[in-house]
Amino acid sequence: MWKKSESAEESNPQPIPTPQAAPPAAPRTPVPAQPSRAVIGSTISIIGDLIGEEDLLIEGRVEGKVEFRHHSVVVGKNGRIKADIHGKTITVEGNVEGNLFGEEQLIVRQSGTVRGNIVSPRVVLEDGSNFKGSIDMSPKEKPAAMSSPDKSSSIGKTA
Amino acid sequence: MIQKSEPEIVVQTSLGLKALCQKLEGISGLKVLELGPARSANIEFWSHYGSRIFIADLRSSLPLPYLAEDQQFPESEWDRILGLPKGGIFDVILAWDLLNYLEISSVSSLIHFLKQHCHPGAVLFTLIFDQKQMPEKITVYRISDESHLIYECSGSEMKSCPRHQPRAIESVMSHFRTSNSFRLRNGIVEYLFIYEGESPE
Repeated sequence: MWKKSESAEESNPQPIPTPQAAPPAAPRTPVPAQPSRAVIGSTISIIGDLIGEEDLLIEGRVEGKVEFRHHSVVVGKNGRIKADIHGKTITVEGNVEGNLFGEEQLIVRQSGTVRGNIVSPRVVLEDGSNFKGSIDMSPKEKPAAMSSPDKSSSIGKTA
Repeated sequence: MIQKSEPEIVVQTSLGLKALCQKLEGISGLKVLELGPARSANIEFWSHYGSRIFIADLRSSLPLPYLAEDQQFPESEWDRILGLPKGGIFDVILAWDLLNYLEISSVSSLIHFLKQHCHPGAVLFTLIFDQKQMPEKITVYRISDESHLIYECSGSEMKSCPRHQPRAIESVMSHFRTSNSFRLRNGIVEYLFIYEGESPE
């Protein structure tokens, strides 16, 4: 029996795991810092002001004021905001009732709805987005010719 | 050209827009009332005039089925429908083809309402269909350049056109005078109306 077993093992030799020496601990190299982004999840409701110095994604509900003047603010598809929003760039995929102040750029995606006024030098309203209010952009030089027909117009861009 | 076939995007010459731009030459800080939906092309275009644009998308604001033939909107309704800012005064009103979808009495009440939001000298730009049929749904217009519009027809269905006659239109445009009218090959007449202000009584 034992012999049989041994011979069977011999005929089908199984690879024997050999313990591997653990590699010497490599010196830790600093990982480049990822730009931090705060997330307000879809189950979170906030009544009050949000002020910060990092990028922000809002998937929840906010009533108050959102001030991230030097960072990007994204209102995700589930985001429901009743507030003025200040950001470097603001992207709206959800629903906003309030005024939007984009220092550099403001984008309302196809799924986005905005009721309020927009102040930003660069505004992109994707076709299908829902917007009611006023838009104030910085004055620029007069146009020579505009871009050709483009269904998902990403005009509003400046050089 | 507006066709019965598939929804399409067509670039059309717009003599009305060209004339409007000529009138606005050298003017900046315009306040523009857009009665159509927000389109980046239009916002970009007007931004070059240092404009502030107010979007009051009539197409989406009206109850469905919008602009039924027997539906009338008294002047008081327009305030609710358009939601214009209190005291908002505009230099340019882009009415596009919306007047074709209103009974003439509603056109009158709309114009009466809009007058309160116009500077003397304000320009109203509108396109009136002069053909038997017109698109069932309101066309969206995008500005291609100073003399071209892009028509975005959102459906192939057509309906009979009220064919508002110039005299009928002009009669309801009280305190507006016709500055320019251009009959295009596609059966559309482009109008520029200038608000002259109400003379003191």
